[in-house]
Amino acid sequence: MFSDFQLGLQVALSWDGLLMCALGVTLGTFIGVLPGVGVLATIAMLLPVTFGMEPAIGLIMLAGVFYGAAYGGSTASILLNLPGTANTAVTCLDGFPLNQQGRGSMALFVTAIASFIGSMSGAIILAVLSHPLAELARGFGSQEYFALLLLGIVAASSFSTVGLVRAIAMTFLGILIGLIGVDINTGTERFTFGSQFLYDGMPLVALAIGLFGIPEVIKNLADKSTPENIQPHLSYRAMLPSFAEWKRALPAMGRGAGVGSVLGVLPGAGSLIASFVSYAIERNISKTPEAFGKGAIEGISSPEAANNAAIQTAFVPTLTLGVPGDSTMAIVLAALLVHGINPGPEFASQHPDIFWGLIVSFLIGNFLLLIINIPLIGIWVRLLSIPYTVLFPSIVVFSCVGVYSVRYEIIDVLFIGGFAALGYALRLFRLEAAPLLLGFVLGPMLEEHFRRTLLLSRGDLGAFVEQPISIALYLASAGMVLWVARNALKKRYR
Amino acid sequence: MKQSIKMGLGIIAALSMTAGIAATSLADDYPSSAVTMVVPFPPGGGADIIMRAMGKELATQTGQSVIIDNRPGAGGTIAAIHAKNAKPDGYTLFFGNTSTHATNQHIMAMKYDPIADFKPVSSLLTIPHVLVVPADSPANSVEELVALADTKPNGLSFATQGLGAGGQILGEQFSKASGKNMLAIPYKGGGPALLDTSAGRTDFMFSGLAPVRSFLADGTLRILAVAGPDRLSILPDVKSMGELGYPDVNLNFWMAVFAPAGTPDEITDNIYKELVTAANSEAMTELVNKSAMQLHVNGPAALAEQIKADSQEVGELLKGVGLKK
Repeated sequence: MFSDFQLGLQVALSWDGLLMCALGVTLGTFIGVLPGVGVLATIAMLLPVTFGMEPAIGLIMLAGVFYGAAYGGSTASILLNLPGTANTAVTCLDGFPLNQQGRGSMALFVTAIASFIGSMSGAIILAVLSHPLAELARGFGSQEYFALLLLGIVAASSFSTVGLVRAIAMTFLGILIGLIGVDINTGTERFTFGSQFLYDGMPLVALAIGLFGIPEVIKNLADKSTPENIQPHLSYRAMLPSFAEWKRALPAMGRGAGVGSVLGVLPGAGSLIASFVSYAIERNISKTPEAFGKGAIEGISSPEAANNAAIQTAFVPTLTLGVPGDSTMAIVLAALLVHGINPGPEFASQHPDIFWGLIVSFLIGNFLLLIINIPLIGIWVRLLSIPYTVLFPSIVVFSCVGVYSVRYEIIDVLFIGGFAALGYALRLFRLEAAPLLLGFVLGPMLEEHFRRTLLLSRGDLGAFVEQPISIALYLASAGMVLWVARNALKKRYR
Repeated sequence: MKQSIKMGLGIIAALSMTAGIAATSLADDYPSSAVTMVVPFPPGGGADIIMRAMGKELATQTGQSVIIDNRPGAGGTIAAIHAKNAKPDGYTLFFGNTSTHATNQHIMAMKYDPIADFKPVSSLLTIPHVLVVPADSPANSVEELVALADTKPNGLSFATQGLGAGGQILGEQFSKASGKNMLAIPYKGGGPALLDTSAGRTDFMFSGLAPVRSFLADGTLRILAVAGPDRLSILPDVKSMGELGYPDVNLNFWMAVFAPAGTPDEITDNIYKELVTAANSEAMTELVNKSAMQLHVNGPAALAEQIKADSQEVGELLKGVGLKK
């Protein structure tokens, strides 16, 4: 293994390896900052470029864009309440309030560190444990997925700042919107109104941007008084958290990295559930749960670490099982397949140059990202001093361009409008968008795995409680419900 | 009066002649600018990679680049509509397949007509499918797999890449031919379907060969047979379903080039000629072999026949299992 690692060093430290790693992560950072502008579209455009490269080098570049974007993703969430992906929507919850308190640069600094810690843990776990983790992914059938998704839904419903009932209602609304589209078991179309654009469901990015970012703009416009720019503290001192904050943030990052590393292995839902579950954990174990949603530092540290760790370990199913978790990862995989290199359990030993080259490039790339991102904080934060008359239209334009770039259909831009109206209405009724978003993503998966479990068992409900992993996950859900109930009761009788 | 009618006719005649000349010269010049190929899959998939390589070959042959326009979604409907609405001048083509032209019409409300809206140019590739079982399956042959169905009160379960996908059609053909109870379990794509089969959650699956390879390498799946009448040159020891007494388990999943209906014959003939040359280039044969696909360039008439036959077969099968809309 040591000689393999050396081979990896040679690949990653070669001139091409370093250059492409730097190029990938830099590009990723900037793509990630723009809300919605797809990592998918970028990687798709870069794919043909890699055909002429050594497979390891091409992969290093594409992967760099992929995890680099996850670093940048939190920037718009924190500064503009504009999540570029569903994963970073959680970061809005506490990141944006921090920014409103003038501590945006501190929040960006903390998320950069959290991303770094998460990514590094993920990369190391990928290097050391790819075999057992691949088996974990294989061990997850529909029965286990159903239990995990249920836990995710319970977690989403538990972290409301305005009341449990409202959060549960929002989760269910999200599930209902998520069920629009074709039923994969029978081919029946649900609420598509005969449109082929709704056949595969509502577009996620349009929903996320419409629900979070645009209502923020509308709210500011609706205020009669001329909005004043948030005056950020620009000194490097203002960027650093206090000692007491470090003490809360660091353990949260560790927990997030752990949750993310494990859940990231599961193709499909891993990183998103990891963000939400890690947030729910922090909130539930916190001594001051009421601080969440108002700028709790744990609320950005843990989900960011989880999200980035999950993105690294998502390479496990891609490389060892040939099952990419999402369409972006599918393109990364394609960069290997065009060279006739097949993923497989022996990938690390058969292609040590690629596997270890990639791992070493992850380590280098993460250091580079830290070096790129920290100085950039000052620039991003300065963007906030742009007058609102310029900033707001730009946000709307960038959002529309980003959503349009996903599949080049103008109808998706109209969907942003619809979701923005919904998002603003929710605000007026003091309802939260985060549980809605999670319900939207997890609801259809919950249904898929529920029905597949029943298909495989030919309708026997006992199948849901056959597997030890499922039972453990149900107990965790039940535990979370009881814990939330206990805290609520304690508050009431205090 | 008479004079003017004569003159009018003369003008019409002259006009139609020039129009005729214009049409021929249009076909002669073809292609005089870039050609767009609408692909109903996201970038990076097997079909996309093949078409990109094909585009590169065509570009060297004709001197005009081929733009790959990925429009995934709604089972190929978004791409199909996009292509059928394009001007029928040969500058927009469609990379269709068994799903878009033979299966969709039986499982969804159609927004395009696979026959009337398109002009077949040629099939390009077929994707050989293999019958795989989990490594620890008690079945060591197709015969034993069929026998296994009798030992289970609910029959067998087989994973599919999605409703109406190649894996489902072949599985339903197998169920019908063997007379055993086999239930299709739809997944969202081949990856998760293979993963669940390798873990033993379903009893078997028909899958394209390429994605199976990593599971063969780690020994979690075994191949029992190749679908269709013939063995594959890359798997000479694996018997075909035809040899094993199941000649009706034979759906051949193909990918083919179409032009919008109304494209002149001269142009589609020209495209067909170029496709034949490109497909037989060294780069293409190598890529196709590496991707575990097979070249299958058959021309417009054979493609039209194939669509008709496949559509009828798929329609009857899906009707039999109550999925036909």
